[in-house]
Amino acid sequence: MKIAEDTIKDWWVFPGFELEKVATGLELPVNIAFVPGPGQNAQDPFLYVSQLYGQVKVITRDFTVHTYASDLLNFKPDYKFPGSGESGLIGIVVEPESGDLFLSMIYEDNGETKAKIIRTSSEDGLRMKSQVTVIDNIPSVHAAHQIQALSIGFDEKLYVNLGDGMIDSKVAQDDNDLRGKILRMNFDGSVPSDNPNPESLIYAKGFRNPFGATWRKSDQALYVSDNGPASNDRIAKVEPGKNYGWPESLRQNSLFWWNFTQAPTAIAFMQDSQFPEDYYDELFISLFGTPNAKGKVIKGKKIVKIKINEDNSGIVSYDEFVKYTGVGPNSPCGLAFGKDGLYFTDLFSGSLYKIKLKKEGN
Amino acid sequence: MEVPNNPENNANCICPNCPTHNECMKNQKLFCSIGKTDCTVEKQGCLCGECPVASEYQLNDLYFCENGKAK
Repeated sequence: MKIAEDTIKDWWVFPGFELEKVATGLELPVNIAFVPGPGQNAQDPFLYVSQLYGQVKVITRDFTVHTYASDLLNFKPDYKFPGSGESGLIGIVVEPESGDLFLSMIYEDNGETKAKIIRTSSEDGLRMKSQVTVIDNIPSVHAAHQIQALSIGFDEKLYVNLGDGMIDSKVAQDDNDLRGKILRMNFDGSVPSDNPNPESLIYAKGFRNPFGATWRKSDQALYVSDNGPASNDRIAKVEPGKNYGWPESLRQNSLFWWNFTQAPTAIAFMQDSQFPEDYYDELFISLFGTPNAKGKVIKGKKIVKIKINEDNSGIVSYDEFVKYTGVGPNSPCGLAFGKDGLYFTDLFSGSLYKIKLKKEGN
Repeated sequence: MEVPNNPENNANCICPNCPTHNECMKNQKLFCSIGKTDCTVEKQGCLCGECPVASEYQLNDLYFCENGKAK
């Protein structure tokens, strides 16, 4: 189902860069996961996209779109944006050794909404052959604040962003409840012996709706985006055992916050050579805004970039980098660096874009 | 800021999409304008922070269905 039209001219891009539409026809594409070290053939998997309502698409090096998996949800989504339609399949990451995917999603169990992570396998990376559950039975909600980003750290552990479940925010401080936390686990879902508490998956606590996650090479650390209720969206560097404050505070141990909420979703550092050196280690952030808001809006519909200061206590610059200027509900959601540029998904048009350096003479 | 109960705000209101909006409230919306509901409110989460009406009128509170209209 295509909710929005899309034209490339409706997107403003930072001077010196240009936009290329690399895939269309996706349905509610959420997050992007690149294949580490992809093959050289045109039909080799290049990247995967999670689609909110239970499908995974794989895009090959020739930018052909294939269906990797479908029917991953056991309930019928209702397309209510904002609201219960915002929930489904969100997180996706490729396990580098095997090429398997980890996926996070909600599911129905005897009338209760719960969250889980599955690991899927394939013979050729183009079509799922099998799946196993890594962890499940986590209380959740048919709305935002569900299980969100998945990422794999430099320590080869699986990290999980888990929202507070929306109903009782106090769970974010409850050490016996996984909601409102960043989890750290082995690939089979077991607790690593070097976790802050060796008997708990909890790596850090006090989050509300931490949608995005990315790893920074320069300090080997995890960074997340987190969404406030009506104020104080934030970016935080996640350190083991730390408390990030929710529900008392959404500024505690944060690197940066927006006083007026913008709904940050995916985040990614420029840490290879896709852009010039001036952009090295800058953090690119999708600001989704209000789901389904049409035309000119106050919130979101843009990608911004920030430069973090040397002692990691704040930022030294903030720029808008990409902005939707049309009349539709279009907005960037997923975002990730590939080897040749910054890719992002436009949730409601089903398009995948690449931002790249403008060629001289254009 | 006071929110007018007009057709535009009613059209933009997202109360019916909210997990807290229940069967009893099915003909009620725009609580930031009309005030609190007479139905029982079981808090299941609040979408007021995401609402275009709240953005337009610079509202910064939640659960208008329980707490009453914006002042």
